[in-house]
Amino acid sequence: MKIKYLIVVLIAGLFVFTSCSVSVPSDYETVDCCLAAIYPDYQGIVIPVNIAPLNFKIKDEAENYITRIKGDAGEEIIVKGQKVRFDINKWRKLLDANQDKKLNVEIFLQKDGKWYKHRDMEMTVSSDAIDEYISYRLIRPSYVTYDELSIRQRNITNFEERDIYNNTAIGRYQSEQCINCHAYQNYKTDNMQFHARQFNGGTLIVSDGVPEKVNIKTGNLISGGVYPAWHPTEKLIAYSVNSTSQRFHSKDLQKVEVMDSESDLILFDVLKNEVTIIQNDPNAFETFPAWAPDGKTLYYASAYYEPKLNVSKLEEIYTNYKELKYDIFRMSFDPATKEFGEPEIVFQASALNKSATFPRISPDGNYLLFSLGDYGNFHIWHTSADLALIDLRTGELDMMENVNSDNVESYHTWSSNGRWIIFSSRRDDGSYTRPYIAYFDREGNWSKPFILPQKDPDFYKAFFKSFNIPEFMVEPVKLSVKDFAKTLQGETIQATLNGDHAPSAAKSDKSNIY
Amino acid sequence: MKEKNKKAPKKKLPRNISPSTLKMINIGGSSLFYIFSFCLLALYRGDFLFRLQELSIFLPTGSFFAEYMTKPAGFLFYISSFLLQLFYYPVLGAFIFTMLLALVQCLVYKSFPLGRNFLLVSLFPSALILLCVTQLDHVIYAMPDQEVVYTYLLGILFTLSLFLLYRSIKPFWAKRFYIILMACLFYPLIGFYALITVLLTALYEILSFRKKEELYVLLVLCLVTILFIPRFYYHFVYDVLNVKCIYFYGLPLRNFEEMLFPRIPVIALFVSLFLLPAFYKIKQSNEITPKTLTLNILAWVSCLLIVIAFTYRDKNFDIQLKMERALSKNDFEEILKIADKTKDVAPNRAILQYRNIALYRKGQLLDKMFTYLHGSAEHKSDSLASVTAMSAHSIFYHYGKLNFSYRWGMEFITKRGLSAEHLKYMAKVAMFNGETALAEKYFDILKQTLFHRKWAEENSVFLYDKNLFEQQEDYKKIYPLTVYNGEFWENSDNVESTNLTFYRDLSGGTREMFEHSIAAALTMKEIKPFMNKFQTFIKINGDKPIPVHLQEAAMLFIDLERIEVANPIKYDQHVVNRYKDFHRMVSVMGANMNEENTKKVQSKFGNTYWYYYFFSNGMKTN
Repeated sequence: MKIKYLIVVLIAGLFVFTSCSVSVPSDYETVDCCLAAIYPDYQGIVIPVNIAPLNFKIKDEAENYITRIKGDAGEEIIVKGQKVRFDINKWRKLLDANQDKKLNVEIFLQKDGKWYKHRDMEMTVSSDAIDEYISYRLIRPSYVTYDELSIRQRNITNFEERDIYNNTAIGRYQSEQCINCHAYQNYKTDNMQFHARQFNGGTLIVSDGVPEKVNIKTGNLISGGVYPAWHPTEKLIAYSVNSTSQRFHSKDLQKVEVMDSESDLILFDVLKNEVTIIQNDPNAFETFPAWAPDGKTLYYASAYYEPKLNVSKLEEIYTNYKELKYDIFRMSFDPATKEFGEPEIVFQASALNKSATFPRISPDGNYLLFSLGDYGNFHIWHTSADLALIDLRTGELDMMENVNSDNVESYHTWSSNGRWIIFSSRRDDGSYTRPYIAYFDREGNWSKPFILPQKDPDFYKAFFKSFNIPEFMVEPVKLSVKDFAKTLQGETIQATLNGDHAPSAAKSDKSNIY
Repeated sequence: MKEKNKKAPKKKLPRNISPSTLKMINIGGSSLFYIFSFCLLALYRGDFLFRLQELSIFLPTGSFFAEYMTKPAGFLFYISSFLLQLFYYPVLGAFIFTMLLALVQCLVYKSFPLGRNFLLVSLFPSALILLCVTQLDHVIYAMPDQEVVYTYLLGILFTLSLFLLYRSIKPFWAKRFYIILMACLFYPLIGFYALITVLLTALYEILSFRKKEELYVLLVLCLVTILFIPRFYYHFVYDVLNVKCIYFYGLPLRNFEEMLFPRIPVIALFVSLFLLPAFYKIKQSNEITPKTLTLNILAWVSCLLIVIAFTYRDKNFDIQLKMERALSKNDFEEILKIADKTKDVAPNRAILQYRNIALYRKGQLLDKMFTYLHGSAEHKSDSLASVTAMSAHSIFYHYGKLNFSYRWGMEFITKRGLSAEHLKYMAKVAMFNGETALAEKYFDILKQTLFHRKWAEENSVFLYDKNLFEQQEDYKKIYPLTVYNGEFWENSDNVESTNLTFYRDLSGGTREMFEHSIAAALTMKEIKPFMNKFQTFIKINGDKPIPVHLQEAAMLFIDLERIEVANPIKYDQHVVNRYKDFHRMVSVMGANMNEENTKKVQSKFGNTYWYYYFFSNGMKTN
């Protein structure tokens, strides 16, 4: 009797074993013409050695699916099913073993009982690691209303994700609290900030791990701080202050136009809670500050504006919205004296009938990455918006054709080693912003970008929020949602305006640039 | 001698009420209540149930489930969302809802010692749950937690089931263990309802005859459980909870926050749940006395009367719901049938716009739009749901304002969550705009649903076949309305004003746009724009008959303003005769245009533009 049971157990075990182990078919027909259609598209990309598995879905309909990924070294991985999900440990080992080498992805489809193998897909593993964390705001691409908003952090070496802050954690259940503009000092999270607006509003600034809520709006400033840029070494944050409005296109598929009718630059001293005006030329819209990695130069975008029509400023801006073009400027900065130098134009996009925004300097200080569109500054709504790169040593402009699509490419940031960028793109469907990653090699070449991998390959298809402001971090945010909620519900520190450090550039000097 | 003070003997009810009679009364009463409930939901409120599910969505995906589970009571809302979709077939949804109400009654009866004498009292919670649904008004367009339609019912079911399970446990140590275990396991699933189960057990123990020491232990345990289990989850399990709400997850807090719920039935429901344990203290005899019978029947009558009395009634709401259901199927014939049947009801602005959309689609706009009563009836409730919030996505679509239709679809799903109806309009707009990938996204989501899959499959084929797309009715009627130059709109927050202003100011455009343009001028009673457009119309119309309302308006305005027309207008003789009659009638009445006279004018000329021009005033839209 015992032997009978043993045989049954063995047979059952064999059955289980054979059904779990997968092998590629030995007999198949090759379909050389084309790759199997997959989503997301991971063909021909360069990936960092420490990225999470690039799970994907085979779009072609078939009875059975087998996928094999292998490199010159390491153990191949074979996966069954239309949704290809790689075991994370096996994936890591495979990538580790194949640094700076290619991986081959073979896809086998069974149709009418016969197996077919499409042309192999390839991807290259770069030994350049990517920063482990990113953070982004999740928001529906809405017009006026918003509901639950969260700033989330994701470990991109796996699929772990959590809220940094969520506006439903505070006050009323459905709080009218907008949160945005998370920013970090030099990829680290002990010094960071984000804004909360309306209910329990203020700027939440974390300094050496201690959170505080500050009201930056002071004096005659247009607004509180808007777009932030942490100085890489000092406890200083450059902000734009903006008066922003929006209107809706009745027909244009770009749907929304967001315009500044005023914008200036300020410097906020975190330790002193003091605001200094950097630039406030009434004929210029200065915005989007960004520091050079050495902290000795501040880059920003600025558009010249002079009223021409006999209507209100806002009316004129919206009437002539296509004529508002931003250029990239920079000013030297002395961290010791906190003095700025004269503004200097870096890229005159307006001369090309274009508008440049979001300057970002590579960590080695050699490159300026920015967003270039036909007009205006809120490029997330402009299908013309592309990423562009200037080599600051040579002045050479690279239009990054390998990276851009025929839809929006906008908000971008460099990894701490300068080898990767993450940026916002609406190339998938023109409406929902997705985070894309691209590699920048030492020769100055860009690889084809790929979408941030998710555990479920269908994730983006069913996800109705946009990934806003993707930022790299080398470490996770250590404070919890509750810590931030508690701070936001606490006292607000009022910033003061320091009039002693008025901008040295006179108005007449500014107008000479144009 | 007779004793004058001797009172006549009281008439007594027969004392021969047998148990079987009482059983019949109980079963009969309960059954009648459920038949009533089913009929109320399926027949009287069928369109309402259909609308509820159109304003929400259920997806059988892991991510959909996971999103619910990020907060306590997510499971409760998830199941509610699943059941809500069954209202696609109101009869089916009503049947299931009614059966679950019956289950509530069963559990109430088992939980509390009502006995057969007071069985019909067990109907109260079911009646109040039913009222929580039937009392909903226009608020359904604004409330974020659509699942509320089922959460009270399911929450009470869970509470009573868990309470019954507690009562079935005999050992005292096991009871204590159960309280903590139940709260720990079920707080994440049903939130607030796990806590009131604990509260109910505490009340039960107070009212039942337990030893004092044991009672105190249990009460302290209950108190500690209620206070600390949510806190434990807040600190150690959930990342994002609002600390002020930790005891209330499971209630439709977002609805509460915005005061979008029927307050009295909800409060009464929970009060009834905590009054019923009083029956533990009421000594009941086996005898069926007239008094107990009367009270039992009175309870049944009360349940019915409460529901009948407080169910929301608003003729316009019913009409609107019917029209929206017809509009969801592009059944314009049906919309006009409904309009014809309800000609005596002054409409709200949503109904009026749906009517005009249907008239346009049937090619009857300029002949019939003023044959109906005009009005701007307000909601009978204090709900502030505006026409724009309720209908902008569909009305803008049908008026060719595709970007604005998309905008209002997006605003709704941002604020209120995914909605099958809004996704459909967003898919259609994306398809019109050639935004294939975007349309695919919306179609793919709808294909995952049980009841909207078919619609998505039928309509998504147009994405890949432009010829086929251009042959469908929607395209033929909507596309001509989109041929205009784009411009900025500061906002499109009032759908009717936006459309009227746009079309009134329009010069040029397609014939279809012109039709709306002239209709807008008529609606806004603007003589000059109308006359300009009318002159153009005459030129392009050739020898074709002039629509009735245009004749009426032209005749009136030429007369009023003494306008000289270049070419004679070919009026229909009956319109001319009618105008003379109208003129005569109004002239005779003169300054004496009181309510009675107005009604006389309305009865004869209520279906003309003249009546609209002079007597339909003070229209408001939002």
